[in-house]
Amino acid sequence: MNQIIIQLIAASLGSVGFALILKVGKNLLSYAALGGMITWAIYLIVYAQMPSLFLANFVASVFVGLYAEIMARAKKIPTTIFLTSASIPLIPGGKLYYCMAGLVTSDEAMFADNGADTAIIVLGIVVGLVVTAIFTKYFYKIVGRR
Amino acid sequence: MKERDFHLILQGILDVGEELMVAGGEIYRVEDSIIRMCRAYGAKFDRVNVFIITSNIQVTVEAPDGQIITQIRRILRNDVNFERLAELNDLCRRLCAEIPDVEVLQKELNKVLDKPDQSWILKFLGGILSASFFAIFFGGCMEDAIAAGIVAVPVVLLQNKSKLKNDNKIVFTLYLSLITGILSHVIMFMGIGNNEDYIMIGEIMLLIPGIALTNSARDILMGDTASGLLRFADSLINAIAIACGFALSMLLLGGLL
Repeated sequence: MNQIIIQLIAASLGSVGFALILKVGKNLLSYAALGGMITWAIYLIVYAQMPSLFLANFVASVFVGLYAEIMARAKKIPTTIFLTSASIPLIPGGKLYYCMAGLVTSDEAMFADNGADTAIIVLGIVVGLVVTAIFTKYFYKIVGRR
Repeated sequence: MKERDFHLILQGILDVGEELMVAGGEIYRVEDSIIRMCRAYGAKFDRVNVFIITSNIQVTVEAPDGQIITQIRRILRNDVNFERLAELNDLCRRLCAEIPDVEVLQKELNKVLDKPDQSWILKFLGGILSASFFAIFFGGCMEDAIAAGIVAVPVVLLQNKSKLKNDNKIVFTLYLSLITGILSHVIMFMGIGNNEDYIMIGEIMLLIPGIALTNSARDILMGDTASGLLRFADSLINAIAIACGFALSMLLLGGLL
């Protein structure tokens, strides 16, 4: 449990760091913190129920997409800004590192496993984002706004 | 409405579009903004053609007086700035609603561009926060986070100040990740930090083109296949350059320190 809380706080503050790197306005930093934390919480919950990298990343990134669309409309600010700052914790930096470490130490199993995981994670994130993007597009068409 | 030179108007519109791209706007957003602005300024509604592939915007419109105008804009800068992106987006809305003269358009655009850049303190803070908290996030301890935060300072400095940056992106990424890898080893050698794995992961998060990769895959799935593939290849090459840089540092110093 302690580990989870530490991870959530780290995800949240790490997202704030990235928001600063991407020069998000100061008034939006708290949204990056909130988005990053909830994204990782959803990932952990889904992964605990069904241990599938694809599914967990997919569901978490569906949340990121919806969060970004809703916030973008509420604040009248481009969707990307919320999208990028909230999806940071999902980015497979660790997997990529171990993939590379496997390459350097000629540990082929490590290289292949982590490489495949990286691809699966990226695919999960992307499919989630696309699903929400298409969903919101048709949702607003049917509802009749825009 | 007095007679306006549509060449200049289109140039102004492309200036705004260029800045949107540079600040990190998505392809479809920039295309959409340019189309909206052209129509607002009176171009024939179904005679506005915009096509963008990452570093090139091309527009052909039929002006109100029947002239057919084409302009191309090459974009070689890349400076993600989401605050500016939001302001430019606002500016687009205002332009579409008010349709001011070109001089006013340029003045308004310059007003957005002249805002002072982010302060160095915030730049460093961003780097330190990301590196150290992602070191913890991926399993590191407090000491690893401190070490990652310390290494982040020269990394941010290099990212912003290095003259190599404008020469060749791949060489720059390779150089940057080699230096970062060496610094991570050195800081371990100095006795700060327990696991170089986690320190390096923290630094990798700073360099990784994760956002570019996800954005490009999204472009592909949303139908902008050409731009998506270009950006995908770009970020893949970058990721490989990062891996090579870090791997080189491990091979060079792994046995020594």
